Amino acid sequence: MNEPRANFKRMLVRLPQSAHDYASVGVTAQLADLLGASVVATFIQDVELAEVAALPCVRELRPLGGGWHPIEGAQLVRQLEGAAVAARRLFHDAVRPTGIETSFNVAMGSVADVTSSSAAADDIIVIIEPRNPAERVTQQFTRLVDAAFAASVTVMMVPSRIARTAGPIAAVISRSDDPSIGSALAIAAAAKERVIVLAPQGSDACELVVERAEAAGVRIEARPVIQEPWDVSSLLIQLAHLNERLLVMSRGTVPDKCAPTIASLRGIPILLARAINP
Amino acid sequence: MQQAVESVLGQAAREKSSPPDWVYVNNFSEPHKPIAIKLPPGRALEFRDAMHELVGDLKTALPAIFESEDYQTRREAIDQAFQAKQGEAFSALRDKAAEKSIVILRTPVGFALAPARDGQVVPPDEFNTWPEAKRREVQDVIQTLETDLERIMHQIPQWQKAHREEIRKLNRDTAMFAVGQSIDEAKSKFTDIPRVIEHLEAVRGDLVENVAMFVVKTEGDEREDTASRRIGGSFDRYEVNVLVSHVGENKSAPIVEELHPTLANLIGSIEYVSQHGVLVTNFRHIKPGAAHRANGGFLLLDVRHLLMEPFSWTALKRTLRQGEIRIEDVGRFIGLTSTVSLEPDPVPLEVKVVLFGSRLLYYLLVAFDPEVNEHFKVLADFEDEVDRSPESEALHARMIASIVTRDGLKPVDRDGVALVLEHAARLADHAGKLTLLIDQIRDVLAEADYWAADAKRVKITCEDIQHALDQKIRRASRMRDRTQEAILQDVALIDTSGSCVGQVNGLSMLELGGFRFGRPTRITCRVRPGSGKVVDIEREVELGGPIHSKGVLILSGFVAGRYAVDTPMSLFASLVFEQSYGGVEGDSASSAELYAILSALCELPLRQDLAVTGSVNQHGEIQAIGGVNEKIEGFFDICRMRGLTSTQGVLIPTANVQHLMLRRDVIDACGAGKFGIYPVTTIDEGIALLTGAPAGERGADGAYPGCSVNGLIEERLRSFARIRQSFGQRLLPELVETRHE
Repeated sequence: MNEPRANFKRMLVRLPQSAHDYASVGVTAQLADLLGASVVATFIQDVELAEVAALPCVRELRPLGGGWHPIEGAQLVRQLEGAAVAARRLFHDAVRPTGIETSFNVAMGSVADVTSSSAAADDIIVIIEPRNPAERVTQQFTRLVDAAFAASVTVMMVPSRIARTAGPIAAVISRSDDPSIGSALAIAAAAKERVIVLAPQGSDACELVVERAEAAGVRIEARPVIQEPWDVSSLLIQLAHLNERLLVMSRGTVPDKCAPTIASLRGIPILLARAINP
Repeated sequence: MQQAVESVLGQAAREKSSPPDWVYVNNFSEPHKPIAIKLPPGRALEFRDAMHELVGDLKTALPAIFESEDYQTRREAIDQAFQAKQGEAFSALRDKAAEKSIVILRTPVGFALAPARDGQVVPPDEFNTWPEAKRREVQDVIQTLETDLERIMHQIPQWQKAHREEIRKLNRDTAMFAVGQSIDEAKSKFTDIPRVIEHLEAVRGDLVENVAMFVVKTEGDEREDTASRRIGGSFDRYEVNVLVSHVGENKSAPIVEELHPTLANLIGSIEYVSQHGVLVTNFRHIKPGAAHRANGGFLLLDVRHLLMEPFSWTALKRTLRQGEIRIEDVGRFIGLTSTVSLEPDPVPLEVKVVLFGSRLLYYLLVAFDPEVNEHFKVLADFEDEVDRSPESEALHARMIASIVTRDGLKPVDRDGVALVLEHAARLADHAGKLTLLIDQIRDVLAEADYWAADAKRVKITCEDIQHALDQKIRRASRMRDRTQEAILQDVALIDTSGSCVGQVNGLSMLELGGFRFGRPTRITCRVRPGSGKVVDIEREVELGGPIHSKGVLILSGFVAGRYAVDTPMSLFASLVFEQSYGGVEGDSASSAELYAILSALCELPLRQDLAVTGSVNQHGEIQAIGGVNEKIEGFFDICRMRGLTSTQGVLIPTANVQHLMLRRDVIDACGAGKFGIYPVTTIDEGIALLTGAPAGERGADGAYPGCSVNGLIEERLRSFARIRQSFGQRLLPELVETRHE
């Protein structure tokens, strides 16, 4: 029996600002554990904020402090440093139960640059969706998503609310050598879960994938589907009642902008494997 | 005694039906007041298992239903509606801002709006180069957007509240659906017990409100696992604490003996567990006491143990008076703990309490505690002995057989049984009685069983019984042996031959560690003229006890009453137990002391091959004493070790003949004429035997014969009187002269 391997080395997590979102860091660490990858956490000290402080017309709304306050440069620096310290603590609290290899660093620069700069082909960039809808419309989050999808790497979208942490691994493939298959089988084998594969009807993908899974000792259920290309609604219909804990598919299977919506609606992380040209 | 009582109670218990079971369950509205529920016998465990199964089922069913597609769909719909509402508001704001080239930024503690160009925040240097009008315009736009952002942010808590309410309602509906079937299933088993049904309804209500504890904590979810903060596990609140259950037992009332009746062991306790340095408890930590276990039956207690335990006696009385068991925390009584504790429902009590104890304790309790007769109305005073008769011997033999059977010992043969009966009579200190102290008989049988096994015999024989008795004595006889050794080596002076004036062998008995033995003690007396006083040296140095002193004072009365009829009592006599360095108590040596006085007065020697025991009254009658067997054997052992002369023996009160249960070797020596036991009724009999001279009786002239012991004594006392009289006449002129001067 050949133990399937996903060949991912690192999960690159851009650490969120809000403590509420660190639960998703824990889920990310669990998946990293299943993939045999380490977690590299980066807290970004956005340089653009320093420029904002110098703009005379800009002030900040503090939900907890109440009301609008001017942004002072020195105070902003202290707050960013404090946020980095808090992020380190929250990160370690979140990943400690898994016992996996982790590292934490603070990067200064623009969100876009930091997000894509250090990513290699065998890395996964993790995007954690903020719980606060206000944060989702901030420029930083928009840039983070754009930068992640602009890079030619595997991306994982983690929704703000996780519906399940157990259940089968769902995989949507378009051909028999789809790069997402390896990841799905590796996670399923490590988690001792089964894989449900949605493969195009009429192709030999189903049979080949089943053979590969059986060779790896992974329970698999292949479901031929005729729907292609996928959109959000058609994919949600196929995923209904699967009770999956993770959805794996290759980049490009669905438009990148749809991934956050699917993750949020299903309440599960989505792993978008880096596309490899045939 | 206790076995007899238990046997009687066993019969009574079989005639009663099993009492109900009792459980404690959580009080969901007032958790510090756990609820006691009565169930038919044997149903408590069924209830506990049903609740455990219910919780177990829900542990599986509830997470499943909350992770089900149906729930998730409904939940997602609510979430989406909430997210959409927020998202739309913020997206509209973002789009509106983008139209005006403004971006929303996340700062470490809030949000900000900044001018942008091509998605990038305009650098301050560039912004400052903008015309004033443009900067003012941007500022106005930002102010407008700030108002919008603030409005949306203010709405978020309301949206969140509405969202939470919807989620809560969904959870409640889902839980109600999931819980309902399991609860109904559990209720169907207990339709005959309304209190259980009532509790299950309370459980249903609580489950619906606290369903979160059953659902696996999902990350980032507001369903917090509050259960994890509760003591003793998350699902304790739904469990059943079985206090008492009578399942599997015979259908009879319980008979419970509590050997260690502490307050907690007696009426139950509330235990605590330490959590984060704080002592906490809940209804599952209520522990039953003996009163709970015996409820509906009989509770057997040793009164001495009960009285020795703090608070137990008063708690028992209070419980009996109230007719219910209230579990009280002893720590709170004495202010040791001030943690929040429980006030469990009291459990109604219906129990017969049997107290076992000595007569002394009973009499003391009755004398000092007026409540005793209120609660304990029936006194059973057990005799320690039974009259010896063929029937009682047969019963004793049957009792021996039952002990042997119950304790798994070898059977005892006929001669063995006979020897055990002899031992039972010896333990009773009476030839015509048998002891009822079964424990001592059991000890002998158990040891005899060992010796029989050691000798590879299948039955316990007479030899084994005797060996067991001998070994028991051997183990305890060190002090006796050392005492005898001291006598044989003339360290302690005891003569067993010859004769001596004013000296007699008295006999005393010692009891050390349950072993009794007799030993001879030399008693001597010296006399001289005096004022009619008999001085007990033991008393003078405070070594004599009150009863002993009383015996000596009786002697004075006897001597004065018999011999100083027509003359003043002009005797000074001093009595002492030679080489006695410890206390002397009892009056069993008073006859021996009197013999010593009489011998000293008449100057006739007393036989030293005889020893004496027995008390005497003022009329010279010899009275019964205790420990006659041990005393005889004590003197016999010394004589035997020095060599029996056939003249040696012991004078005992005639009244003690019935108590004779002597060792076999003593009986054999007596039978062979090598040792003698002389029952005496009066002092005159004894003094005649000890001196070999007749005691003498008053003649028609009122005087004793001159050659009799009494005659010699009377004459000696008269001579003392004359001496005193003549001494007084010589001294009188001198006294008169002195006064004139």
